[in-house]
Amino acid sequence: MLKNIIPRASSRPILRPLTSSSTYSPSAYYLVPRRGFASETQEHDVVVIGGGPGGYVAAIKAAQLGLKTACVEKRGALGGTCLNVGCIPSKSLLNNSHLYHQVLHDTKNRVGDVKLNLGQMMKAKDTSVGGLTKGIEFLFKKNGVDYVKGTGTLTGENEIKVNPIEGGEPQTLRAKNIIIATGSEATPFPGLTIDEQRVITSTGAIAMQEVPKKMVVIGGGIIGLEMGSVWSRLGSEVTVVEYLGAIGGPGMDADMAKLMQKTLQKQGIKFKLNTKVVSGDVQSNGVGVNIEAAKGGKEETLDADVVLVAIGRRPYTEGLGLENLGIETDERGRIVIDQEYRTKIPHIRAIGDVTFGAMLAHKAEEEGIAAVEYIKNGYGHVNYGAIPSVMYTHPEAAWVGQTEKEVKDSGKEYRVGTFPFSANSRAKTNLDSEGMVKFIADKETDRILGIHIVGPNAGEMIAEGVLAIEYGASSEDIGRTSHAHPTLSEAFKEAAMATYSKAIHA
Amino acid sequence: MAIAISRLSRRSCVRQVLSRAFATTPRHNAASVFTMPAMSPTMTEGGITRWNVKEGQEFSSGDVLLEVETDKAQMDVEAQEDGVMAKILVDAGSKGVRVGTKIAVLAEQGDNIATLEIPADVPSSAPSPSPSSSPKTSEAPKPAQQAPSQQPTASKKNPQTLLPSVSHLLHLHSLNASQITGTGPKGRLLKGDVLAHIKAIPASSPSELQKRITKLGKLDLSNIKLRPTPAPQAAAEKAAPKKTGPPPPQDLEVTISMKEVRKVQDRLQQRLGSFPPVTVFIDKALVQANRAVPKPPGVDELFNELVGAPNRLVPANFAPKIVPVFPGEKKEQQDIFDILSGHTQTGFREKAARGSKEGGIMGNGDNVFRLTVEASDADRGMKFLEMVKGLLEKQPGMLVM
Repeated sequence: MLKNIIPRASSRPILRPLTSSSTYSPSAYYLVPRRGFASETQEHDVVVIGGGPGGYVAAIKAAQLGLKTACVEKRGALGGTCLNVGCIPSKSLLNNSHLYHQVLHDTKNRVGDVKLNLGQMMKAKDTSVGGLTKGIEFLFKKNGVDYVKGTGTLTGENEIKVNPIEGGEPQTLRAKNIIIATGSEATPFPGLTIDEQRVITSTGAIAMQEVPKKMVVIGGGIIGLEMGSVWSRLGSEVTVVEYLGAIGGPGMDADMAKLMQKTLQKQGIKFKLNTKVVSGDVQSNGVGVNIEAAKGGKEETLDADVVLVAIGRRPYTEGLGLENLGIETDERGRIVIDQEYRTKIPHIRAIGDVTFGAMLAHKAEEEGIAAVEYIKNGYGHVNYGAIPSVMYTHPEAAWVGQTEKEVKDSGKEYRVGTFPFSANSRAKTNLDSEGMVKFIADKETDRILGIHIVGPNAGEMIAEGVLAIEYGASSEDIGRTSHAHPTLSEAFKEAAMATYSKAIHA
Repeated sequence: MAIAISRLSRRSCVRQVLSRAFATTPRHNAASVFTMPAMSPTMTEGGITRWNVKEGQEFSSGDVLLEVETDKAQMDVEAQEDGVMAKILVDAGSKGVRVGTKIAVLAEQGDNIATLEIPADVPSSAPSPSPSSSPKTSEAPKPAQQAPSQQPTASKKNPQTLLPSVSHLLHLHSLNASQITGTGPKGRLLKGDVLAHIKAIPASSPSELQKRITKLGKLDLSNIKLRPTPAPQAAAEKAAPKKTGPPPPQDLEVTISMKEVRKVQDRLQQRLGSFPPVTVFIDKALVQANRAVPKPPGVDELFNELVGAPNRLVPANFAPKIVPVFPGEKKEQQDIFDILSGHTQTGFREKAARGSKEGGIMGNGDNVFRLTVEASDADRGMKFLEMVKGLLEKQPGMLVM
């Protein structure tokens, strides 16, 4: 290209020594126009649509494997829902509200009074989010991923039109391979219009300017319980309405769901299970939520300042142009793929929330890497049997593998071993001993089928369980492995011992 | 008489240090080659009378490794460091071994001799270079570590770290891992496999469970109910795909009057008797304005920000082209050829010469400052030009003070 051949004008003409005479050559002020003839669109090996945990990880991995990669993101910041309005900001609020709540209640005799500064709490959240999104941008630059800020639309089998978010001419990217990682959005509740003021989703729940006096959470899944916890700790009167008979969503073990519910009730959250929301009535001073028993019954109205709709998430493919290429979705809007994440058009793949499987950031990450490895090497792998789930309430809940009900339904005989944190020395001294560890193992072979934890730091502890399942370990293998004393992880070991033999401290 | 072989120790020392400092991968067992030492400055060759250490035997620093005889004398060769004799390459009794000839392979204590990497350039006296032909340890009374093949519980075919439960059961029942087929992930031997082997549980249980778990490990894509999709419009749209490149560079222009500058120049002429050229003003204005619109952060700046290191802003490097405006003259049109060729305007110099003795700048009138920038830089470019305008038209005096 021409601009590369013609030497550019000195970048800092001002430093050029001036001649003593008054004649002045204007040439230093010439800037050779930085205009080449390059209006052709360069082809990428991989273009990832969506810069969330699935998309950005896929893009970085692709670049690391030597593929020329671009990532299209329309939010204006990388990290997707998870980093901008999901996992990360909610964890900031959960941590800070926990500290506040703990000082306010648990340690008030030992520490003293505490006052809430919600503005600063929100600022801390924004700082964390800002730092992390910039971090991904840095990783893109470091690994040479082209970051294209705009809305990507599939216009051909190898062509994506990008409408820049900052205005300007649309740009066309050509790609040998395309990875769709556009994620998901909150499913709206029919009859309640989301305004993010009175009727909010998780996005509004992490950005409230004041603590609502009364809050109704529709949906007792992970998002509902986490956000309900935050505002309950900060002083809201929170009522969770759940259609099913248990909280925690379908993946949570029934014993653990009961235990969790009991613990959260103690913290002040009210639960209405087996209850459905019939309608909502938004007024200027609040919302009336009409509920009735799921099986039919008397109607009742709950008053709330804010209603959080947390009934699940649905794939987000708006404006993606799937219809242009005839890419199929199922009845719930998930992009139809095969085991190698290929859509009907083999070089267009879909990963993460926009397709099948659990809607989890780390599951999307694994798929992003596997999809890229399929592109580069023809083989990738994700073990869906060993993907952990974590709920970051206090105590946390975490699990991996099958629930007791799933094992029971499979007809295999099994053993269960449990160990309560109230018998664990570290949990006891921390005055934080709610919860337990539960192992489910095959009766004959002792192979671990599922691990379920409710307790302090369960989210970190589950990593050991994931590793055990990945390696096909038996409960005895955990029981015969040394765990440091005094730590919470001893409860994990003791529960394993209780599965194949007996726990020492119970 | 004993002479220390400093050469040997120095080399192995260096190697050790280097490998520790720079290796980020796990350390492998690496051997070092021991060459025939020069016992005196004049020695060119010698004979090996005796090896004092056998293959596989450990030695400490100061131990006599071998006895060397020359035409003049017989000398002991001491070890400078602790180690293990991995392999003797030149047997005792050999005569006329030239200095520098590789005579043995030494390893560090604790290295596993059976799996030792013998340096590639060592001629192996063994019939084949496969690991199984590495020195037999039968002679050696106590190698530092037993080879895996000698452990009773490890499989020869499929060496693996045994799970604690498996290891326990094998010992309990005096079994060898190689007798049992693993059904776990990637053929791993599991507790269930051993239990099935000793007939504590049905033989098929482990493999049946593995089958089920393998199925659970796959994404469940059964029973997909498709949403009816509208007919693909791709074919129609494919007919005329419009290609658009990146947004074209933009031309920015600002007309700046030099009247204020001239006034300052005149004042300076009167008071100080010097007449600074107008270019001095322009240069200073450009420097200041460039500083005011720093470059957007690159990787380094982003990283500095992330780790909280102080960030120095990099000034922009806008260099506008200055075109004098002659009273009553229409703004010159840019020639398309010039744009394409990147050529500067023809006739510019003529006009410049007419314009002012300052050479291409209207010293007492209007000048157009023209900047061609990428579309993404347009905002910063405009800010820059306005800054220059402000500096030159409002307070040019400040520029030279």
